[in-house]
Amino acid sequence: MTNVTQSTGAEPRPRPADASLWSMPHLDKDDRWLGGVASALAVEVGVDATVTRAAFVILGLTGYGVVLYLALWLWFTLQRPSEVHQPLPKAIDPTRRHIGVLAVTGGLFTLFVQLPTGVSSLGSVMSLAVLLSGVVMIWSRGAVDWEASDEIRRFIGGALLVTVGLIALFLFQFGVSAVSAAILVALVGLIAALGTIFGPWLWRAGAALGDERRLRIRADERAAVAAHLHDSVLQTLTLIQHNAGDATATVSLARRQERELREWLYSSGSTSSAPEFLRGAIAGIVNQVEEMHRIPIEVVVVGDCAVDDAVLALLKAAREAMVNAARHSGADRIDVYAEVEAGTLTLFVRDTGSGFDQSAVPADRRGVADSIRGRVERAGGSVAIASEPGEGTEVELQVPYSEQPSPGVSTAEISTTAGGDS
Amino acid sequence: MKQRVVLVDDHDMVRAGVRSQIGEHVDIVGEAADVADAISVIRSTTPDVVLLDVHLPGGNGPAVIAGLPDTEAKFLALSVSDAADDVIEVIRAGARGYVTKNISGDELVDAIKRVGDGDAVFSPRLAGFVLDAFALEIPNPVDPELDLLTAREQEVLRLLARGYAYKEIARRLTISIKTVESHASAVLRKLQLSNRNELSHWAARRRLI
Repeated sequence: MTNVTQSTGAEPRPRPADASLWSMPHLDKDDRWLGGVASALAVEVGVDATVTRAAFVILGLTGYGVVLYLALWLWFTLQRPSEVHQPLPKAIDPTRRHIGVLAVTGGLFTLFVQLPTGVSSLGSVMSLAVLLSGVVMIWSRGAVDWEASDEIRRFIGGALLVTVGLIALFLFQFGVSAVSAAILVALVGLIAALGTIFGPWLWRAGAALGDERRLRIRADERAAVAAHLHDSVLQTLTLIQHNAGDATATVSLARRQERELREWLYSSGSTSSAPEFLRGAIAGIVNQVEEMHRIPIEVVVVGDCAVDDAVLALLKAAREAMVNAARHSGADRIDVYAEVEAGTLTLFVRDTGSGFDQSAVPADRRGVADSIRGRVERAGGSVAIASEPGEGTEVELQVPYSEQPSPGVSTAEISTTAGGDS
Repeated sequence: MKQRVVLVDDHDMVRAGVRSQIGEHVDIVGEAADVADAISVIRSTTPDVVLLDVHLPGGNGPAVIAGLPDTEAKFLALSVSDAADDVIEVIRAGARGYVTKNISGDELVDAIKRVGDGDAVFSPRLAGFVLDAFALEIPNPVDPELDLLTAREQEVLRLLARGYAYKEIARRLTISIKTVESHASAVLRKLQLSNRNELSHWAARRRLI
């Protein structure tokens, strides 16, 4: 009984934080005497569960409270949220369960006695009592466990009581003379009895099926994760083992995998990883350049925008700037920073490598600089290149972008058109 | 004098790696692998700087900082985690900086020294997160000062995001390194004190542009 006193003395539980005003009361699998209806209502109304339980008991004395309870139970159960990660409920304390079942049975008993076509004679009342105690016996069973022999004994005992009770009830109500009519009624009664007997079991089987479905969904999720990890992480780990002697290859493989995994973990389902948007497009370019030139590129992007023609031109130029830095600067790292702000996209490609004297640029490198400049300026943007010998190089690219997203250009296009210089 | 440092990370390999990277330059006085351990180790060893992993068994990095309200130790978040919300959260809990685990040993030693001196440490990534967080223009009726970065602070953050070191920023803006440091600290303070609860949800909304 300690459990009982603990729970009745408890403070009213708060409503779950995410429950909106009209959300369905949630049957609490852990705080219940029977179905958890009283405690669910208590949470909804904001009172202690003792109050609602007492209310149900008082209403139950008239009989109608039981009908109300069962109706609410059925309704709440049908509305049960299909959470995948729902924990398995604790088993109800047996004492509580028996009290609950007895309360329901007593209420039903009262209800039947009150019916207009009432159960009047003492014999009828007693046979009804026998019938209902059979029902109690069956319903107060714990978890479905058809292996346990005492479960089966109890079930058979309950079924016998129900049958005897039904037959006796008919005999007392309608008399032996009305046997022909009784046969018809007995058929109906038999069906009702079967429903009463097997109802709980079918109900539990149905619930078990639902649980199984949830478990299957969980398993499917696991399988999807495993498949992804296999295709990406495990493959990369194998490649790393094969390339263990080549430090730069190992580092670039690890970095690329890190970026991919991160992208998958933190932006799955969002648009930002798609190549039609700036973040995704930059990630694609950086992966290519890192892989081709074996140099780590640190990327920071603030904001995001759709890739339109001007943005695409800037990205192609940015790719050339990264390739230049990777090939000529001698730096051990490239920093890329892009910022989307008030209709303007600005992108910086910076290295801390050798740098160069801009007034004495050899013709071939000026050509590259011009192609960067030409691309961006044709798209209505501007380019600034800052470099001093020994001080590294920073290329600043800027284009206006349209606020209306018009995706539809892919990074494949960038790599094919800009890939000629590598 | 060497800085006294505690390492908090649940991966032995990471701790061993960090130890070999910086062990010569700082004095590692303790290690911990979960929140409860971290709190008791930091209490008993009173380090100058705690290198704190963002994700820990038993409540994550912010829980460690919250469990030590009176400590003199400075916290530097060290993580592979890139989820902006997690990083912003550990900074708002009181960490003085955030660096990623792929940082070089020398840079890490430098960052520890800086944090020990009471300065802020911004990796390019953290600078980007902060710029993003403050990019949304949500006026704060209580204290608008806290919700806006000054033009100079934005400038410093942008350069940090572009990969500039403090001394390069100082030269470029022709200000002293001390001034750069005080701008960085001011940004950190705003990030910690700003009461706009939108900060934690900015990332999702930012993508809706």
